[in-house]
Amino acid sequence: MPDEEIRVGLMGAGGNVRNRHIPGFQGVNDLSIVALANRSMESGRAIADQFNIPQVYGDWRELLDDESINAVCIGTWPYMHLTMTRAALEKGKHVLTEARMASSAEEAREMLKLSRAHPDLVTMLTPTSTAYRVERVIRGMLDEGYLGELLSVEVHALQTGFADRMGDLHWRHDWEMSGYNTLNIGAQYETMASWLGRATRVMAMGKTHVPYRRNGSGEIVSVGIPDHLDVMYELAAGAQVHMRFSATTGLSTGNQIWFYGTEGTIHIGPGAAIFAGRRGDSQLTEVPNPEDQRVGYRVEEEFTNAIRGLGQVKHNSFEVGVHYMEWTEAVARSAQTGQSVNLPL
Amino acid sequence: MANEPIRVGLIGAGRNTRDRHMPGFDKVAGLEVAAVANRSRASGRTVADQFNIPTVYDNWQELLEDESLNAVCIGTWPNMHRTLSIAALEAGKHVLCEARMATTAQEARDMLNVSRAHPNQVAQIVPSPLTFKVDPLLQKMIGEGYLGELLSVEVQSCAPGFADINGPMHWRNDRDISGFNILNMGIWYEGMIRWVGRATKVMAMTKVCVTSRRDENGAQVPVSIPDQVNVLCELANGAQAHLRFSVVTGLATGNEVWFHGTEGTIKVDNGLNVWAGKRGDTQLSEVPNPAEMQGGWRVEEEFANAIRGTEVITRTPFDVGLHYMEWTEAVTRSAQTGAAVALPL
Repeated sequence: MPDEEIRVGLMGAGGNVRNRHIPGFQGVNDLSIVALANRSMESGRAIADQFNIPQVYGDWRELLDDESINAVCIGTWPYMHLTMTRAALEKGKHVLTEARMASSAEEAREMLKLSRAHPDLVTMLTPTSTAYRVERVIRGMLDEGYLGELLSVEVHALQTGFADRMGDLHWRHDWEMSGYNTLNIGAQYETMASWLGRATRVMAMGKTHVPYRRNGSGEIVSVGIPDHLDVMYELAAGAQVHMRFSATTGLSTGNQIWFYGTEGTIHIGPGAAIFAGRRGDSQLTEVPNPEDQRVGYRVEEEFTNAIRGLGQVKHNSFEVGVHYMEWTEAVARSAQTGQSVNLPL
Repeated sequence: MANEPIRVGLIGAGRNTRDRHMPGFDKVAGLEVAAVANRSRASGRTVADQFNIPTVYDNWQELLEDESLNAVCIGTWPNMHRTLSIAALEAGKHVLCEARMATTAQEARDMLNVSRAHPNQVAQIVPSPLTFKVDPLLQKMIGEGYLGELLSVEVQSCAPGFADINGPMHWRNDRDISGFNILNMGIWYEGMIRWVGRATKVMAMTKVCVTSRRDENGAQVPVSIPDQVNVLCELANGAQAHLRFSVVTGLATGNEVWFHGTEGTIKVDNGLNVWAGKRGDTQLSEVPNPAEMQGGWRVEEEFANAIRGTEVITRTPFDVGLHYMEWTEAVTRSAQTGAAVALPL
């Protein structure tokens, strides 16, 4: 197993696949990216030429029929993740899927079931990379009990532009492509859950401030995914979290996080600078975060190590994905109904 | 009417009465603070001596029987406001009642109904003075359309101290005295509705972090009023607001208010300085708020003018008080049930 040659097929080759996964795979020994299926033969051909990928298929189903391939990387939008994961596992291939995991919690659960029915195959979700820069320092401080007992968390994920009325319809605005995923809530929650544990109860309120957008054909279409969202949740450990997400907060201060505990406070400011202070301090002071000690990106290495039996998939397993999809759906359900939603669903 | 002598009786003479109302009454021509009833005769005597108040009563019932008094200032805790306001109105006296208006929305409604049955008597609640300095400027900017269409509001009031574990039991921590009032939530909400109007829907999550406190005898008593609150509101104008109150947020940045609109953003910082920027700007800049623009404390003057028929109460009439008490109760109801609460109740 450790020497097994890994032959990867790419299903969908968007920006993240080209910028992250292909260079990542290219850094792994005894691994070849052998084939590619994109939305069209032409777009597939262009990428294959760029990265010296020998085979282009016109259709992802043809790629899965290629018995020389033993692993796939699914880089499509969330609405195809279940269908492709199911087909790939049934063809006996290891699966690395782009995030968000799926369109709904039900799809995510189905993917988890399928992965459990194929215990000999590796299944993995691409983790969010938003917190790599601060991961080691924050985890270290949380683990050593810097905060005392955690009481309260505030997260701002605010864009700094004004509402782009009649702007372009991005796939993230499109329910068919994105499902319950809204703004970058899943990525933020994934990070928060990895640090603080899971939510047990969610309440949310949202608004679609830009209700019409232009699609690729220039048509004006209505938008059903909020561009402004407040989420409150309770952690299994008892603390309370508020997260504010918005694409309509012009000139806001951007992304910030505060952790408040009985004994200490940690603040991640704009630009990912970390500040902290303890009871008795008169102010927060910056915490050193040397570049050479930061966590690096190793998604493809983790995937291939798991295939070779050299490690377990941690970031992220399908179990983690099911939980963040349940949370994501709970946010939407609460905003729809005005009721708190308990987790797990 | 215009020259009617005003003879005020004080019921309860706590700090706000001594520090604010007494100097305020002093400045009104033809007004005399003629009597006081405090918790004990001795404490009433002390206040009377300090301010040259001629008569001290043993209790408020006796004070209300004094037919030479035509107005009262109620300075007790909220648990007595309904009883005292109604008794005073029924005894034919004008009423200035300390804030928060009452312990529950029903008490506030009773007070409003009785005041309406006495249309020739003034009924006023002491207004939230917290934002007097910026109220006129914010009303002007928002009213004149600086923001375009208002999309979202963020109000943060976080005390910079750490959780006061085993601290003293203040009357604000005592449900029997404070009712549904939590922290300084009603004070901020009263300010907010001056700028952006009322809420129509409330969702809230609260937490009691310091679960017991020491009473005046040093005994540990349990606390049921939260020390951390997150509130989401839908406003009648369609915008979404998040309000956050906490006294467990050590080294927090204090108070901040943000308004985000389609065309502009306004921020009020911890020092009540106003910052603003429009679409196309690269940053917020400070907005001049000259002294003549700023509002100030004129509660007793307004009360006396209303008695003399030269002014209508705007800071704060009983109907506004009822609304903020309904909102205040809605916060607790939503936190209790996990369901959104629509307003008016």
